[in-house]
Parts: sequence; structure tokens; C-alpha cells
Amino acid sequence: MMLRPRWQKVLSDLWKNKTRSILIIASIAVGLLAFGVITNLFSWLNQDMSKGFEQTNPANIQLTTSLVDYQMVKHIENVDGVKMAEGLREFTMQALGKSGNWNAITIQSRDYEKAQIGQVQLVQGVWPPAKNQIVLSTNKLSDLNLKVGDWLTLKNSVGDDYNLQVVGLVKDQMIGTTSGGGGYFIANIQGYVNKDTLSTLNISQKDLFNTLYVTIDGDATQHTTLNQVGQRVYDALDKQGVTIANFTTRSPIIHPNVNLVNAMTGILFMLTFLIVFLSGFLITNTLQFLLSQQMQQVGIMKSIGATRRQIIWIYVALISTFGVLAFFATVPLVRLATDRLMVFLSTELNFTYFGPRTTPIVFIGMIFLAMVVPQVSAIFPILKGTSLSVQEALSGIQQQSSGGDTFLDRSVTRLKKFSRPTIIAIRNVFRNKGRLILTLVTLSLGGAVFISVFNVRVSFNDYITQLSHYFLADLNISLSTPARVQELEELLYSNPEIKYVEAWNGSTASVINADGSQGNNLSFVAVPNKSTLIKPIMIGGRWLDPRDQNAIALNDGFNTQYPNLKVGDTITLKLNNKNEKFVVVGFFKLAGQLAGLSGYVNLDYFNSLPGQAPNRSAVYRVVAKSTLDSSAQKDLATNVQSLLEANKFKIGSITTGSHINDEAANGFGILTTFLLILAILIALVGSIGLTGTMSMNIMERTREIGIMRSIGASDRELTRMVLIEGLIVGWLSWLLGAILSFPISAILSNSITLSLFGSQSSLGFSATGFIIWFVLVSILSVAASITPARSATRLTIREVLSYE
Amino acid sequence: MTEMQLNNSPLIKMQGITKVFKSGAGEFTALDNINLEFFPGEFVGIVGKSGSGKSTLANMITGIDHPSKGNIDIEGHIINKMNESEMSVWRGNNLGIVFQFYQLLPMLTLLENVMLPMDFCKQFNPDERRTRALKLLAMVGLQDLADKLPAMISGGQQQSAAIARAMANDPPIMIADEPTGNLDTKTAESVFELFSALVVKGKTIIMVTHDPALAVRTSRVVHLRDGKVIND
Repeated sequence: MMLRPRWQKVLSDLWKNKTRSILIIASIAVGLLAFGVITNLFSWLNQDMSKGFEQTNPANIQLTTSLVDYQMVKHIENVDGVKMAEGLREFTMQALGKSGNWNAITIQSRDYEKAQIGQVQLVQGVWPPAKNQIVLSTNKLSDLNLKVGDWLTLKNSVGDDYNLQVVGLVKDQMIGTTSGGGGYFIANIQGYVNKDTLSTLNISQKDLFNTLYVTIDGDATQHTTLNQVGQRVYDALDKQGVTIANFTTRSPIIHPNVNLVNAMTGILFMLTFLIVFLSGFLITNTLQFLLSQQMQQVGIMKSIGATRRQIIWIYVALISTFGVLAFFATVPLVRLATDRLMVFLSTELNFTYFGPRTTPIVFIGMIFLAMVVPQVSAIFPILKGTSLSVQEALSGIQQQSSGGDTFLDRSVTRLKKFSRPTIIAIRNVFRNKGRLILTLVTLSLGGAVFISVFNVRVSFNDYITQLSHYFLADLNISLSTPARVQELEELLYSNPEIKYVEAWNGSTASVINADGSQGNNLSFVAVPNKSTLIKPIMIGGRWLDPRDQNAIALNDGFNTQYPNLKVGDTITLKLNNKNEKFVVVGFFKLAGQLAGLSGYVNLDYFNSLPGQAPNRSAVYRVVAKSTLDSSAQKDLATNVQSLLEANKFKIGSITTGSHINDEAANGFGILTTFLLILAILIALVGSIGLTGTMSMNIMERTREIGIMRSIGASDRELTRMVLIEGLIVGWLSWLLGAILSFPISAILSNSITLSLFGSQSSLGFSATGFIIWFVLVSILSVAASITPARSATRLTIREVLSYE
Repeated sequence: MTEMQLNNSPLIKMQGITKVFKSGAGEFTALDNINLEFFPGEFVGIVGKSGSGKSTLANMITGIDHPSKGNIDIEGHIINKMNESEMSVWRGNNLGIVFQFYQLLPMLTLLENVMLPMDFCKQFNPDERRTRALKLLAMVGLQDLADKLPAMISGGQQQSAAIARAMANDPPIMIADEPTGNLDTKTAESVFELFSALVVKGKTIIMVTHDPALAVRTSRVVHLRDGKVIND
């Protein structure tokens, strides 16, 4: 069956000018791609993080306790509402990395054959480990740089070495479940050994447990149910005289790292909307050109009886075809890009990726965007193009844009230092002002977001620097058992590199809610009254005064988890199994959800509490005489470790100041990677826009190029003119983008840090983003102009005459 | 043979020029084995009916189009062997072209339009270009309109400006394709006068026209029919 002529025209318009068709399809596709990838990603992320975590049968209640036996585990299983309870033995050692560095490792042992709660996923090798074998978790594996088959050297707190063979790698989604949102990033490397290996490692009472995993009957996603059963479990252990150091409840569908994803949701959707909006601009730009090219055809169709409505339908059909083609071009790309991102994120955020799938809602959204955005973008050019009279359309009056005698034209003419061709190139930039504005809006916004990503990274780094205000020491030594302060200080000062030592203290405490129930855990730090190794950044109230007694300063995490808590309020904490009341004197900025909850009190007061030994401490902070970089800190840590071992001190861990910062930086790395991907997408939109504009400009000026040819313009001269025009547009967009990047950086930075940390970040600016974008936009401008410039030089004067 | 031809060697030699256009409808021979010589100082009128090959002949000389067979030698340069870029530069220095539809750049003033070929070919120092452009505009009577854009002046004035532009690099040859075709009689007369004045100054002018009244006033008339010279 033969197509009706008007639809034949639609196909012909699509096929005959392929460059134009590709530009329009690319303009639609880039918006679809951004929308598709982001919505698909969030859909898959939420499904997989939740489903994968639930499939591990995670513990709904987790407790770190004094040593308990199997009977106690069975006793907990009989508590009303408890479905299952399992005991684990967890302890910390030092693990030797390939580069000779010692890292803290948390090792767990349990009856893996019977274990059902918090199951791990085998990534490589074998599971479970046999005697004298160890399986490692994939998190922080790079710190050790070991692979399956290698031997791992472990060292206990008294300095004895043990070698175990690494037989497997596992993904353990329970990592980070016991602390705040960023727990995963600050957690130690995890190792898994069986009960027989405990004897090898000289762990006494290997049949006892110090960690309990508990699941409950009923709906564990219900906060109230979970807390009620949790309280019963807590009370049951308490009654049996078990010391509970840590108590946590968690919904089985909330992955510990999901808050990082949530923090990004708003900002990513905002940027996606921006890309779709910019893609709409591109479409308007290109379709305006298409309509101006077709003005005479519109005139002809009108002269032979076509109504305006019929002509509008022809273009609506053409644009719909572009939308359909863009949709089909984008679908496989969306699937591929989402898949690659999911593979990357499943490693970084420690969740199980279940592979690509079709998400109907994303499809429907993409179809809607593919069909609606182009029509909305085209409506103005279509209405304008079809409203011309036959005479106007046939004569193509509006096709000729001469620039005109504007202030800008006169100013450009006065640029005496430039040659005429350069002046023409400069003036050409402003010939089609509508198109220039659309191009500049697209490219400038793209550039502004690109620059902002780098500024946001600086804000993140500032945040990390702020974190270091709480870890001003070069080394943080944590002993397995408290030691006499005077004895340890004397020993440390015997090292000539050490300038200053402070003995700190601390323990894990938990908040007691108003109704007397057990609340969240917090890291409880007792800091020397006149410490110089902490410079807190206050966001409310004040820091501890050396004369304070039961005063406590709390971190910003309390603002989100206990929003009603104010300065001057009293908070009850369970400390060493006793309830203690503290007066809140201030809130300081730490890392919000990434750091969990923490509270600082004066050491003198802490030591005066019942059960404390005032002249003993397990935590020491050490400052070197000279400023040490990361590797010098590691060397000092090795020396101190040897010194302490030689003197029979039991070491829990020795961490360097820079290590603490590096750990915190990990979480931010994922966020900036995400933002950078979007920035690249936006830059892509901008470059498509610029290429389109330059191509359209050249196509529109075919005759002028021919005339210049006839009066002596060489290939070089024509190319130079086109490149200058492209570069000026690029540089103008850079200037506008640079200005716009200031508010956009503030919006991006604040919205992320607000959702992640609960407080706004200080705004950081980096020249890097400005410079990289300048170089990139210059390259893009040249690249976008090269093809149009080539077409310009290929035009012959005869083609020009054929335009008559 | 005219006195001019006797005293000079030819400036332009067209040897066996054939131009065949191919289209879906078949082949069409626009020029058929043309052999012509043009001499310095000649004012040549190319006449013929529509479709006789006049404009194609002019396009061969300007290098706008290339012959299917034969060579065009202008002052020792075989121009049909040059590529588009070389041709543009050579043309800018040696040929002035006047089109029927003026072809001034719409965004440039008349002065800038005239200065542009000088900027491209750099025969004149940058300081001289403006003065020379003003002088050329004065020659065609447009000195007062130098800062106007083409859209603001009449067709005749635009064609005069186009002639001034064609003279910008002081080329020895000027090719005009129907220069008066779009003008009224009075304006056409003044444009013709401008050409006559240039011939007096020693320029060689080849003018394609369909107006026999104008053609008879040139020093030599070449009559084309069906792509062949039927009278010279």
C-alpha cells in the first residue's frame, strides 16, 4: 500500500537530512538516557539493597555481651517474640598487609554449618573455612592486598604471630549494622574462622560467645514490635547478669548503606530533571531550525490547499517519529549503563546485585518523555512556522537573518585590532540570538553543574578536614585491657620521635529513652579536661569546660535521631551497666549519619564514676615531634607497636590520624563519582547542543560562505572563522557557567550534606573545576565546530547559486 | 581581429571546453567544444537565449564550475586543475565577480563588504584597506552610504557596491553574470556606465547578458546557442 504523500514527506524529511535527524534524535535521547539510567538505578538499588539484605536473614537484634554459653543462647530463643538466636565469637587482631602495614581485623567464629542468621555470600574460593583457614570479607580487602591462596599473618594483643591461609572471599552485608549509617566505611576488615581455628589463635574459652544474632517472630519491619522484643531480650540477659556492651535493632529490609543512596536521591532527580529540561531546549533549538528550513515548503503546502491544522499534524508526526527512534536507541543504552553502575555500586556499597531486569515504570516514564517532551519543545516553533502567510513562507523572508545594526554589531565593528574575517566570526555568534540563548543556557548550566561537582568535592574534603579536628593526634592507641597511665606514658616518651601523649578513655554506652527502654548506642569518649588534641566545631551550645562535672557534648547525629533534645536537657545513658545522668552542654559537628552517635565528657568526671580506675586507661593519643605524613605515621605506628609488645602491653589496635581521614573519605568518593557521572552527562548535552548550533549556523549561512569563497576566502580562513565562532560560544558559556556555579555549588553541597550529616557544609571552591571545564569546553567547542567547518570548506559556489 | 587582439597575447584561453551535466533524465551538454580567447582591455558581451550556456561559460572562467573536458588558461594558470581552496585565493587576487543577485553579505556594511576581499587576500596593508574601500565606493557613487547595511539600500545601489567589491583587490579581469538582470532600465544604464569606465582604465570585462541592446555596446560580442559559439 502506498503511503499518503504527506506521510511520505515525513519519511523523506527524516531520511534526507540525516545530520539534522541525528541531532534531534540525540537531543531527545540524552534526556531519556539520564532519566532512564537514574530512575532505573534507584529502582534496582532499592529493590536489590532491600531484597539482598533480607535474603541474608539479617539479625533483627544484635548484642555485644560478656562471654555467654550455648545455654544462654537457648534461653534467649525462649524469650517471647524471639524466633531464633545464634551465638558468635568476635575478637580483634592485627593483620599484616602485603605492603608490610598492620591493619585491625575483626574475626568472627561460629558454627557455620548451622548458622542461619546474617548469612554471607561467597564471592570467590570456598566457604566455610576449615581449621587454620580464614575467609575474608571483600570490604577493605585492598588494605591487605591479598588474594585467595595467600597466607595471612595475624598478630594478637601480646604480639604472637599466626599464619592462616586465605581460602575464600565473601560479601557480608551485616558489616556496619551495629553503628551509624557510615559504619560500613569505618568498619575493620572482617575475617571468618571456624571454632577449631580459635585454638590455633590461642583464644581461650572457645565454646563461649560474645555476640548474639537474634531474629523475631512477626513483622520485624515494624519499629514498635522490634523494640518491644528487643527490650525483652535485653532484660532477659540483664537479669542473668550478662553485661551488654552494644545493643542494636534493625529492620530486615533496611540495608546499612541505604542512607547514602537516600542522601543522593533528591539531588540526582533534580539533576535528571535539569538534563531533561536542557534536552528540551536542544530539541526546541533544532526544530526551530528545521521549521525555518521548511518555510518555503510550508508556503507551497498552504498554496495548494493545506490547512494550518494539517501542516501542524505533519510536523507532530515527524517529531513523534523522532521520539520513537530516540526511545528505541536509548533503551539498550539505559540497560547497559544501569548494569555497569550497579556492578560498581554493589561492590562499593556492599549489596547483592540481582542482574538487569525490566522496570515497567521506568519504561512508561521514558515513553512519556520521548513522546511528550519533544512535542512540548516543538510547539512554539511549529505554531510560529505554520502561522506565516503563504507569501511570507514562499519568499522565505524570515530565513534571512542579517544580524542588523544593533549596539552589539556596532561595538564589534569598532574592534579595529581584529581582521574583518575575525569580526565576522565574532558577529556571527550573535546573529541568531534565540538560538544563541538556548545554546548558552544549555552549555552554561551544564558547565555550572560540572564546576559545582568539583566544588562539592572540596566541601566534602573540608568536612573530612573537620573530622580531623577530632583526631589531631598522629596515633590513636587502643589497648585490649586498660594499662596504668603513668607506666605507659613513660614507655611512649622513651621513643625519641614522640612529643606528647594524652591518656583518654571511653566505652560504648546506650541512650535510655524517656520510657526507660533501651535506645541507640553511642560512642562515649572521656577526654582529658585540658586536652589540646581536639578542636570541636560547635553547632549549638558550648564545648566542655574543664570544671564541668556531669556535662556532655553530643554530636550532630543526635539532631536527626533525637530532634527534641536541646542544650540544658538531661540525658540518661547506660554506662557499664549503670544508668548515669548527664547535662547536655552543646552539640558539635562531626559527620552526621556517617559517624553514628557520640558523646564527649570530661575524663576527670568519668574517672570519678563508680567502677572506674582513675589511673588506668585503654586509649592513648600520641603526637610526634615533627609533622608526619601518612607513611611516616605508619612507620611510627610500627615502632610503637614493637615497643608496646616488647613490654607485654595488650594492643587492640593502633590507627594513624591519616587513616581515620582516609576511611571517612571512602563514603564521599561514591557520592562524588555519582555526581561526576551526571556532570559528564550534562556536558554531553551541552556539547550536542553546541554541535547542533554550529551545524545549523553553517547550514543557514551556505550562501554567505559561497560568496566569501567567490571573493578569495581560503579553506584555512573559513575553518578559522567557524572555529572562532564556536570557541566564543564555548567561552561565553564558560563565563556564565562559572558565575552560575556559585549558587549551584551551594545548593548541591547543602542538600547533600544536609541529608547526610544533618547540617549544612561550609561552601568550598576549587579552581580545578573551573580550569578543567575551561579546557573541556574549549576542546568541545573546537570538536563541535570541526565538522561544520569542514562542511563549510566543502561548499562550492555552484551550490550557492543553486540556492537562488 | 581587433587592434587589441593584434597587439596583445590572450589573457584567458579556453581550449576545447565541454561541459556535460548528468542527471536522472540523462546527460545534457551545456558547452560543446568551446575555444575562445579573451584579451586585456576587452569588454566582451556573452549573449544567447536562456539555456544556451552563457552562465555555464562564465562559471568556467570564474572556476565556480569545472569543465568535463578541456582547459582554461588564465595568465598561465590552468584554473580547472586547482582545488577549491587554491581557486578561492587565486580568484580573490585575479578575478572580480559580479552576480545577478548582488550577493553582498547581509550582516556587513557596504564598506565592510568592500574591505572583506582585501582582508582575505592581504594585497593591501590593513591601514590602506579602509581608504581604498571608501575610494571604490566613491567611484560607484556610494560614499555616503558606506556604513549602511545592504538591506537598507536599493537593488541598483547594491549592485554598484558589488562592483566596488569586485574591484577591491584590483583584479585585471571582471566577470559579470547578468549584472543588470534584476535592475530597472535606468539603474542598469548606470551600472553599464561603471563597467565602461573600468574598461577605459584597462580592465578586461566579460559580461553575460540576455539584453541585446546592452551587448551591442560592448567591444566584442560572443553569441552562444546550444552550448556552441555561433558568432564571435
